[in-house]
Amino acid sequence: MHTRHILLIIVITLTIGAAVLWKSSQPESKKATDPLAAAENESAPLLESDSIDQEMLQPEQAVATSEEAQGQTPQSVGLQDADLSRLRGDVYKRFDEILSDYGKRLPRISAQQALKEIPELRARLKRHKDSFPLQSDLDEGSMRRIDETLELLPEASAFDKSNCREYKLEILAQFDPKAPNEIPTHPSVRRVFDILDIICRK
Amino acid sequence: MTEQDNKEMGSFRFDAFIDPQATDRRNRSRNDRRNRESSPSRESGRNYLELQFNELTRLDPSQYFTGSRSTSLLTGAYFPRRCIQEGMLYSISRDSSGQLILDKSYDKFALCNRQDERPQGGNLPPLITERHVNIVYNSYVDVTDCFNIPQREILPKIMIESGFFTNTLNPTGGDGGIGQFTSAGLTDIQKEYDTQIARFKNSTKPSCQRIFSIPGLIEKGREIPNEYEKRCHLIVAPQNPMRSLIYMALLYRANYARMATSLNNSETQQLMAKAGLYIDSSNAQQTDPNAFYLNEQQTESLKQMLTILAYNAGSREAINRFRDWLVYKANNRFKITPDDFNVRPLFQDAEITFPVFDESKRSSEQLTVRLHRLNGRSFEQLKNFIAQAETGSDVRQQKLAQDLKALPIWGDLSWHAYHRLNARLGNSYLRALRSAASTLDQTVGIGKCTPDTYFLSL
Repeated sequence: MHTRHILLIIVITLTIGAAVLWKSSQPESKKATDPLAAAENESAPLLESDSIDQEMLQPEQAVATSEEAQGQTPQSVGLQDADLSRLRGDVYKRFDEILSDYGKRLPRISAQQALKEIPELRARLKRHKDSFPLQSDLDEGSMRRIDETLELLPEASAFDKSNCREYKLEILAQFDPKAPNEIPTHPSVRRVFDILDIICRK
Repeated sequence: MTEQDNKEMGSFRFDAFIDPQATDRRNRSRNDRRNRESSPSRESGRNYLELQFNELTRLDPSQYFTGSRSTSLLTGAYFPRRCIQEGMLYSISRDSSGQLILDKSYDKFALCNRQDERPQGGNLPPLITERHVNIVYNSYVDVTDCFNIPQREILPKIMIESGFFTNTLNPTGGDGGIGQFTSAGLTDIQKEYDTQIARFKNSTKPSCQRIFSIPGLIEKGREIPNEYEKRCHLIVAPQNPMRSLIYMALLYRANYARMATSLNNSETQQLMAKAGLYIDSSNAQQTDPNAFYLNEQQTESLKQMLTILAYNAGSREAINRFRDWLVYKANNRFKITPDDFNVRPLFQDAEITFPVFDESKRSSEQLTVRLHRLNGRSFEQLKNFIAQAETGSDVRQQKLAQDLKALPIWGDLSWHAYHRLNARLGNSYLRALRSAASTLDQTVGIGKCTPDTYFLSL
């Protein structure tokens, strides 16, 4: 074989090898930009934050008693909500799984982007709420407010970091006005405060 | 207002209160001992508010607020002044002999010298003098009249919040003043403050004109400080109690508007229809024999009830909790009746005991609770125990679970019972309102301070 041909084969081989190496080195986040799609593929740890309040984010046991469980099967839902049916009896884990998809992205995106993704998160929470009947009233009732609480966050275009305390007070006024020293007691509000804390620290 | 009320208000005198001005003791109440405060030797240190009230007296030469008003000025007053006095006494503890306990263990009374400072707690209850009661009563009557607030219906609410004391402070939560406002509550009223005040400032009502005649009382909404470091804004006289009461009135109006809107939106209407509840109904519209149709007056009561609840729970939480109850009723096919809104004793006075697993200690302990004291958390613990007992192998626990499942708490729950057992916030809140109203009924007379049928029933 002519030397030129050998060199050409070597160059082509090296080029193909480099291309394969480059593709496999791409980070996971670029492969799954859709948070909903990410939920299908990944297990769901708890909501991430720079300083997680572990006690607060530990899912509590919620029990569906025979008197309260409606015995209805969820309506036709997407794959991600069908996955959540395995957590039927644990309302905190169910909602926290949905939040965790968004929570994993939060530290890596801008405040503006984080707020732009809120409507999508709210829509998913509402779909989930509508597909699971009200079971354990105290805990279910508490967690089912998350999408409404998120509604009170400012739009991306109106967000001003200097108003972060006012955003929190606005939420407390609607859901938890007697929260001692502005620290929420309402589970939904506590989770949304977690989100807002991360956004406000950016 | 009846002739008897006029007579009572016009001639009422405090008995045995330590006030140099209160010398006329002709009209002692029947419960003389109950109304009397402790002996003069224990009164030192309790007159700190009187110095601030002196300033209000100076600003109020006509004694619209500090004096006992003549009947002609009492337009809009629908309850006797004694209700305020009894509310104050209600919030001070008594010993076994019925004497008021007056010591520094009260950390809920604050001292403020300026309105832009942090309140200092740990003070004795202030003296309940005639002028003190006059100031609170006259301010409350004028504010509720000017701002169109249901005067007698929310009296128990203010009573359990602060006992009508101007300088009440929640040492743990930071709630301040007669209305016990928090930072969140102040933020809520800031938004529409200027618009609302402008509207009432031009009112021709004598009550409004009296309110706005007090200098330094009304600021711009943006100037209302919501940080705890300036909580004296809600406490210090002479601006308070009038200022706090105005904030209370504005918050009531805002929450009432939200409740009215929420009850009329399509989502709530659908839930109500499914549960068999209709509001603002006339006889001609009552086509479903199994439904409960509220007439206009009953609908108004329902709105007031939810508005009062929103004061502590937040307006969105209050309406959502009501919607949850409608879903509960509809899903279980429980019929809604007038009794569902009756706040009289929720369950019988029985005691239950069951084991509760303590995660932090990794051990079980027995929890004993009276049925009518069950709240959201203890109810949840009870349900957890039953679920575990039913799937476990301990025969005794299974038997206990069976007995507990036979209790009436699992049946058709009224709105108040449902709220009590499932609300995270203010678990004993509605019961406390009922208790306050009962106290006023007993001490002043049924129907004098609150409506004959208290608004928490329909």
